[in-house]
Amino acid sequence: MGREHLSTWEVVCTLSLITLTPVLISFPQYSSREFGNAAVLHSVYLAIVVFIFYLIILKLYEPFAGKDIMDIAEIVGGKPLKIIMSIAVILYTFAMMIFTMQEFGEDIKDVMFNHSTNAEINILFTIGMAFLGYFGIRGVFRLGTYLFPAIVIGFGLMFYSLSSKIDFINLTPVLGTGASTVFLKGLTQVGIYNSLSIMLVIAPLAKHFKKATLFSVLSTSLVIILSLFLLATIIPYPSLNQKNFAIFELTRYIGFGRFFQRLDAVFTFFWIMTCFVFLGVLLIVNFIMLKKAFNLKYPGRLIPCVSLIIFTSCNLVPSNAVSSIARDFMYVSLSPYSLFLYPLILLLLARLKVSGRKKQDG
Amino acid sequence: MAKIVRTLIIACCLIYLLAGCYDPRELDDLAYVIAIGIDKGDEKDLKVTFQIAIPVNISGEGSSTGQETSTLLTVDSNSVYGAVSQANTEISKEINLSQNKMIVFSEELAKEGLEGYINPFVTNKEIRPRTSIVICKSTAKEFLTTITPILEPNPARYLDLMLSSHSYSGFNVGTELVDFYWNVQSKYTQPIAILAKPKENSKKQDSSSGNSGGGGGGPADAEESTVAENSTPVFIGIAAFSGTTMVGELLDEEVIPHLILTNTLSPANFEVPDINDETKTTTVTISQKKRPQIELTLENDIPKIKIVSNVYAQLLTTGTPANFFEAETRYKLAKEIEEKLKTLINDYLEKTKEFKTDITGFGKLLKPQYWTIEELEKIDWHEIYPNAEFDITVNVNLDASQIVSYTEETEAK
Repeated sequence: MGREHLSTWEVVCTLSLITLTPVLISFPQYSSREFGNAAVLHSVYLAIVVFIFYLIILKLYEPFAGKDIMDIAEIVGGKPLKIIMSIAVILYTFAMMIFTMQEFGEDIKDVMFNHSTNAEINILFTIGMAFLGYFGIRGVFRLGTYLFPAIVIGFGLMFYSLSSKIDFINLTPVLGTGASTVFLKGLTQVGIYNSLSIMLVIAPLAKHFKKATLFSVLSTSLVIILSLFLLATIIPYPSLNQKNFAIFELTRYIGFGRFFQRLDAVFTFFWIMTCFVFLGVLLIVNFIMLKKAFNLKYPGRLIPCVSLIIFTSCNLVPSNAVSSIARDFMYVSLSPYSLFLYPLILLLLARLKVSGRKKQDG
Repeated sequence: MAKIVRTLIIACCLIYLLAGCYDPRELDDLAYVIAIGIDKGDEKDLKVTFQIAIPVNISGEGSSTGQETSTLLTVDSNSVYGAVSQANTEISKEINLSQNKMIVFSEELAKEGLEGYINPFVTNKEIRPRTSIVICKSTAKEFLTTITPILEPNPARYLDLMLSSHSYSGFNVGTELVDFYWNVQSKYTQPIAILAKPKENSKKQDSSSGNSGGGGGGPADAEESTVAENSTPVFIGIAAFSGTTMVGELLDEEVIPHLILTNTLSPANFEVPDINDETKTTTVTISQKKRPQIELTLENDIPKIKIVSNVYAQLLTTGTPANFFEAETRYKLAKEIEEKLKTLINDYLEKTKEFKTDITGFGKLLKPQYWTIEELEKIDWHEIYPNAEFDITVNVNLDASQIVSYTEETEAK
């Protein structure tokens, strides 16, 4: 975790991959349950909202080039706010890692490793995560750069193979469960874009912060919209409501004639790698926060300890359903405020404070 | 310290290499089911028959065809999963459903309803979503007994080929487990399945062809071998469902309208009376290059459905010689085909109304006409579909270019 710089390509690929993880697990199911046939319309709407939001954030960020969100918290509320914020973010990412690892692990166990126990699967993810932690931020983002194009090709194959099953009528009635649900209640689903808030933590590391952020917003939006489009046009409502790990389910339908079938095993490898990158990035974000908040010299030495805590906590989660509910709660009730509204307020206050100081000085 | 940690992590990773030794599942230890038959049980709810491949007879120098390549195992159980467990206790190998190609239900069971029998297959990750659903007019067990791969040593591939015959015959359909399940859940379209029966053969097969009753010394009864010797499985049409209950059947040519209206018609041979002599037959290959245009409007809860279907017909043979260079002759034949298709479509639609099930999926056309699910759900499509009124137009584009040119000598002959 030195002072490496991340290229725009690395940032865009990795953040898009991280966004894919919740899409792989339960987001489509949740979205279909809440918005019915309007799940895709809702995802397009959210993409527009998030794009506008990040345009505002980038505008507010202009005077703070090279600073991350913790530096900005320090400008607003001094060291106490910086520490409080870091702890809050660490707790959030911890919870996200635990519930994601548990839910993803159980899904993978269900489809591929049904002779293994949950703990064995969790060990696999913990080791992968710890490895990526040792690779450091550059290593994880580099892995994302290699993996994302493979996943894009995979999605291309899915589109090609399943095109005969795509039925646009499944996207109607256009407003699904109702306009107010899609456009008002739907705003709370903005948490699905929480990977983008990592930009505010890695801001000093990104070579071209503004460009990387905008391209990441576009890329993650595309990942979400296209995934939901594929799912919603193929698996009709209400069947999609009942599908956990729906994208895996789609890969089971892929077949090129009688020869190329059962490609789901290949795709599962990519989904597992995606989850590794998700966990690895969040682990590294944790260490960046710890290092900044508590001036730790060698935060990397905490990797085994933190991994062990996550592994143990993961095994304490009683079931997949609990994880799913907890993650949905985090996406709907926490993320919109903690990852979107709170940074916005923080940046506004910081701008006011900086301009106030300038006036005082001038 | 870092070195120790690294070593530990590498050691942990290496543990996974040993996992294969802990609980290996060798291919030889598994019994690959290629078809499952489900009948109403006598003592218990279900009688489940597994057709299991015998890999040693499929590959290698001594590979054979016929029933030696698979065996049947029948168990009584109250559920599908229970049957799998029961079967596992009766054979030396573990039942594996990952190569299963079709699930056969008896007509008797399908008419009572398949609720509870489809879900286990949908949720089971071993079963492929593209597995075919077949309804058999006899018992499923009897049907599976008749499956005797000939010219093809691999019974799974034999079934695959058999099930894909819809792509060139036009008299049957391809149905997949996942489509069946989605349509059961849909309020605007209903499921179908392949309808099949064992067909009695007039000539007994050569006893040396390997029909040794359940092949490979399996537990199939001796009486079934007699059935197998005398019959072959055939797909005869469509089983129409309302929800999970079979409500009717469409046979042979009645399948063509379904294929046309659902835009799934692959080139199929189609016979019409000859234009000059009605006792003779003209054969054309029909196909669709464009999706049929279907418009649905609701007037006082009466669905008015306008159908325009454009069919491309290629002339193959005629019953009597005719000059197809003449526009009038071509027009007459095209009209003949149009009339027959229109009648078939009309009869098909009347039958679906009689069955009170929309297996074509017209109801889906209602969805774009409403903004929200709440508005849409005020219409009970299942209730109003039998009142539907149809306006059918069939346009045939006839291609007679393959017929040799008409000459006066031909007529003289």
